[in-house]
Amino acid sequence: MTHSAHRLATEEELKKDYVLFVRPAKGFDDTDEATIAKTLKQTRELADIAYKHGPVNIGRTGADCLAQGEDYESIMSKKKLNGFMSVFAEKEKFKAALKEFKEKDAGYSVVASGLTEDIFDACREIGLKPHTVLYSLGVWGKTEILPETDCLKITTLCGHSMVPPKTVRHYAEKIRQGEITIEDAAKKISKPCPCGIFNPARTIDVLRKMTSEQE
Amino acid sequence: MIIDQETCIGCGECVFTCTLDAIVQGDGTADIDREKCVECGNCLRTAECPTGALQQDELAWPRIVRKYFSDNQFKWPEGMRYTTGYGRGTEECKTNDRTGKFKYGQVGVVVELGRPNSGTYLYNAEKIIQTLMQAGAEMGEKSPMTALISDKEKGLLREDIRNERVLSCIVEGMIELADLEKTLNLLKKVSGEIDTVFSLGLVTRMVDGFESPIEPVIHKMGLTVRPNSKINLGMGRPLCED
Repeated sequence: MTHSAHRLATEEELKKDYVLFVRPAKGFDDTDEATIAKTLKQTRELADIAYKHGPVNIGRTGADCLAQGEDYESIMSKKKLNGFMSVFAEKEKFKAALKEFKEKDAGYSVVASGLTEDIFDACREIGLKPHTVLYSLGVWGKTEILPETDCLKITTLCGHSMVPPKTVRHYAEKIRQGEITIEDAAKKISKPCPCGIFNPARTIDVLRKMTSEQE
Repeated sequence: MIIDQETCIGCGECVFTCTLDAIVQGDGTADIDREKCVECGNCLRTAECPTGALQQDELAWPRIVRKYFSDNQFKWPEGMRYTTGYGRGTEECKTNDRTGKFKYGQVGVVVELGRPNSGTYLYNAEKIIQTLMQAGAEMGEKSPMTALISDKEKGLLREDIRNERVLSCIVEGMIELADLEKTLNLLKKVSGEIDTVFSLGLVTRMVDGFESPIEPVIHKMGLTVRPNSKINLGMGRPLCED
């Protein structure tokens, strides 16, 4: 998920996009059966906290996610040692989940992606000290081959690049033709991204802009 | 991937599901441009092919390398499952509060080729590897890309995979902070010599939580960082203080 640092959007749009994930460490949290059992139990408890605060998506690699219509209990019933991803469309909800993570002090690595200054502000308020940051210096090289910006704002929401620009254009056209609602189109577009990091709420906003501009 | 020309009815339901526009609608049927296809499997999982014409054919080395890098639901072979076993990179900053991979005074350079939405041949990755080596970088450990280097002195990839195309791949290196300006200048130069794009990330330990030691260098060079980033919040225990 290196790419969560490279989600493309304006600062205004990023105010609806806070990614929060918990990541057990290989060689630390999978060393024996008892440790594995503890990791599974505690990451589930942290996921419950995130879920309680109303994320627009939550999921885990190999277990699907809310944005695909999967039920939370079903996602969490699959035993996975890779933690989970969640996405909040409101800073206050993100901050509330983070505050409870701190109170729980489970000892796993917690990573947030989003507006750096907003996350730093939340950390100051809660009493956390960021440890390491991956900064994005943008896209370099033959940038003339890139798709249009509105497409990129949606496709970069998938950490593995599985959402094709052509899919975005396809559903934008269906919206314009009145064949699908914006909300259903956002669900269809999120389908290739199963791990819970995709933000369907921000996708709806971008699709609305894309399709209203053509009218 | 292949489309069985006998059973394809040309409905077009797969064409818009391709991550790199490798599916082409022809007269009466759709077909896959095998050179463009990176074997990500997205079409098979998301297109609603009514006749089952869309199929995953059996892949052998070196073509299967496309799938290892591009299909986030296809595991690397034993011996190359460094993190979850899927994907292209390492845990970079994600678990650094516990592993201590990046220390004060060091900078992680994360070059994600083919992103966004462009794809890349692995020969581009070789150019980036050689560039980072020229800058004095140590290549990232436990990274699939590093594992495919055949000549560690010259930074050459295995000859048989150099012309394989992937959705994206990540070249990771570690430099000293003192070498950041030189490294960025070299990356700027090589960015004009590749036939794709890369998303560039820099990883740094923070000073007292909120001070970035790399920002003065970046600003001095007239470069800017994006307003969003990925932040390890320092909640791991025991906390690595290095």
